[in-house]
Amino acid sequence: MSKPVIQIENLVKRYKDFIALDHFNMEINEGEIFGLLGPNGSGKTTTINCLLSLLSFDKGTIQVFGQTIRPDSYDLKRQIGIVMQNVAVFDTLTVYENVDYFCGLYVKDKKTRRNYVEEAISFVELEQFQKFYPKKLSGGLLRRLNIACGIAHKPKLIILDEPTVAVDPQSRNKILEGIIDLNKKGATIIYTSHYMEEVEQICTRISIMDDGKNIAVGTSDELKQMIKKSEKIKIEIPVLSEEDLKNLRLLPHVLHADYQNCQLNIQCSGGRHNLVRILEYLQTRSLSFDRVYSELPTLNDVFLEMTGKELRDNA
Amino acid sequence: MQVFKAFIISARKFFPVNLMYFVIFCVIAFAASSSSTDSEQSSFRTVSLEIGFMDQDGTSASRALCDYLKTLHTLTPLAYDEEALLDGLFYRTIDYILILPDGFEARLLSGTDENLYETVQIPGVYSSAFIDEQIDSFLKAAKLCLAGGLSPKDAFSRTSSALAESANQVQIMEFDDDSQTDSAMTAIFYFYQFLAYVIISIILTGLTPILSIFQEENLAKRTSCSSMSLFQRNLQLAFGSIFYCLAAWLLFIITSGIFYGEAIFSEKGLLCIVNSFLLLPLGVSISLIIACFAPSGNIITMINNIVTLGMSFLCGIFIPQQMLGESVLAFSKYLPLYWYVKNNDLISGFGSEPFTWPAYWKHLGILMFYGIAIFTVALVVSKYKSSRKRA
Repeated sequence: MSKPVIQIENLVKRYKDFIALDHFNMEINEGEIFGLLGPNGSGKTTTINCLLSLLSFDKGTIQVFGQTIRPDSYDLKRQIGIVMQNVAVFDTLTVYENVDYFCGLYVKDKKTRRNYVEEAISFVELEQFQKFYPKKLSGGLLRRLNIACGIAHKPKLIILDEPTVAVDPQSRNKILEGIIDLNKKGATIIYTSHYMEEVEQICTRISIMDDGKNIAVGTSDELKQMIKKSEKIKIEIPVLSEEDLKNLRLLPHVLHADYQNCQLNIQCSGGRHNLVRILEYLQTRSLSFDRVYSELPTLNDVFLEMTGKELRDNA
Repeated sequence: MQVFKAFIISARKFFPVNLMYFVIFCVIAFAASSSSTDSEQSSFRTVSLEIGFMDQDGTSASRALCDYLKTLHTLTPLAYDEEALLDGLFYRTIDYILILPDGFEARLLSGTDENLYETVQIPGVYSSAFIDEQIDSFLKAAKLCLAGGLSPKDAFSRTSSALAESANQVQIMEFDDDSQTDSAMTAIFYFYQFLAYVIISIILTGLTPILSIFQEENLAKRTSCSSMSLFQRNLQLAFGSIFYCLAAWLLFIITSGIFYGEAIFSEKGLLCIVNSFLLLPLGVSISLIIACFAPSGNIITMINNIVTLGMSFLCGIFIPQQMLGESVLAFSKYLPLYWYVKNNDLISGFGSEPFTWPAYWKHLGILMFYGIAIFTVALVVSKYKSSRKRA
């Protein structure tokens, strides 16, 4: 069994009367890409800031690599790389100088540092922009520079706090591929985002947060199995009587069925052959239909069912 | 030394602005040193005025007064012709008319000041007041002699001779160093007077934006996450600031050496250098406190201009302190550059008080106190802000 890299127990953080983290628990194991998913204001960044000792907290314990982290835990901090939500680079330094600066905060040896910096720049594919100043870079390139600054010193634990905000799809894909690559090279990764597709795509385990609480933890499939809804079926039918709709609702595993704008929407709970069963019914009733869609539940559905709120709306 | 290195690289960005300050200052300093002469000496000369007088009394007292005035001015006896007298004044052939009426001595001996003498003057001419003052001095001295028991004749003749002897003897307080009157020293004085504005401007223009970059929330957070301690980071920032300020200061000291040669290594020159050195801690501390409060680059530039220009005008860098109003001076005493300028005036001898070592050290001490006090406030503010961010 892999060792826990981070253990957070009963973490409470208050801003006067507002509770940002409410007895929050989290355990992240070595080699994981752990996703913190939640809408804005759910407590993701507060958790990260407490984890990095940037914020004090009211209650609870945080252990990183088995040790309690404090503002002066410099040896522990040496093993952590952070990519902030807001790009944190010097406008007065070039791309190379910026990566060199942040790498130099951890690595003293000049030769090693030079190699690390070149590797980091190559990793984010900014070789041809080495002498550019940040103001000359596009949003996507700037985000990649931000990542290079956070990972250049080859940390064991990398925390990426919404690294793809306001990034074009092409750069976003490159960033996500890079994160998977870093994980393959041995880094444990904490990835916070309110984009569920990203989290679902790259994270091995996900924690869903809301109002400073950990609502559910597990793999993507495990989270989806926690909810009743498992399949959404949409069928384009020109005509459907009220009686047929009632009969469809009586089919096994059908949780909900409605008919609007010549489209039949059915939500099913777990179980196999739901689609086959519905199509068979339509054929026996000689009802003609056009296109058929079947969607598996998303993390948004998980969040919706658990909190009654849309994850997307808050994003 | 990553922070130090980043500091120096960031300072490059402000090199063109600082170079502009340096070049403009050097051009002005060079022009000032080329045009500086002994104007302060040549502008003082003894003036002898044309006095027309009518001695209608003809006594020893009136004669003694005329004799005394003759030692100072050109006296021309006049006949009483009102039109001729007024013409003389109008065409400036006469500056002042003195009429000693009959009974002048008698009234003087009896101690009566009323209608003792009459004068006709050109309105609004200061030299008339000067003559009034001399006549008044004579009369007071004569009264003293009479009160001392001298006979009127002796009293008046002694008064006349005694005042004539002391007339025109102006005592000038001088430093031991002869270079006081040297034109190079005057130029050095102006150089170091304006240096305060330029040095503070260069420090604030270059240092404040760099310090504010390092205090920018995201970068400060990012650096706090690293394995570099806060002490290390602040130490390297301090080294960077010291290096930057020393480099700027040394550049100006070398420039003054090139402009004024050996004069800069005279006692007064060295005192000016020591005085200017204390501008560095002051500039750094002001810069730090602005960086703590200022949120953006434009606001930093605005605050820098207000601080440097405001202090320069109020403290007597652009306008001599002697020409500033009392209320302005009362306020500017609470500004650090006032004490820098005061010390500079003290060294050059252009101020209102002669040079003394205690006064020099006192002004230096006050300047240093301001530097330390502002620095302490900046540290407290910085600490308070960082603790609030962590809460």
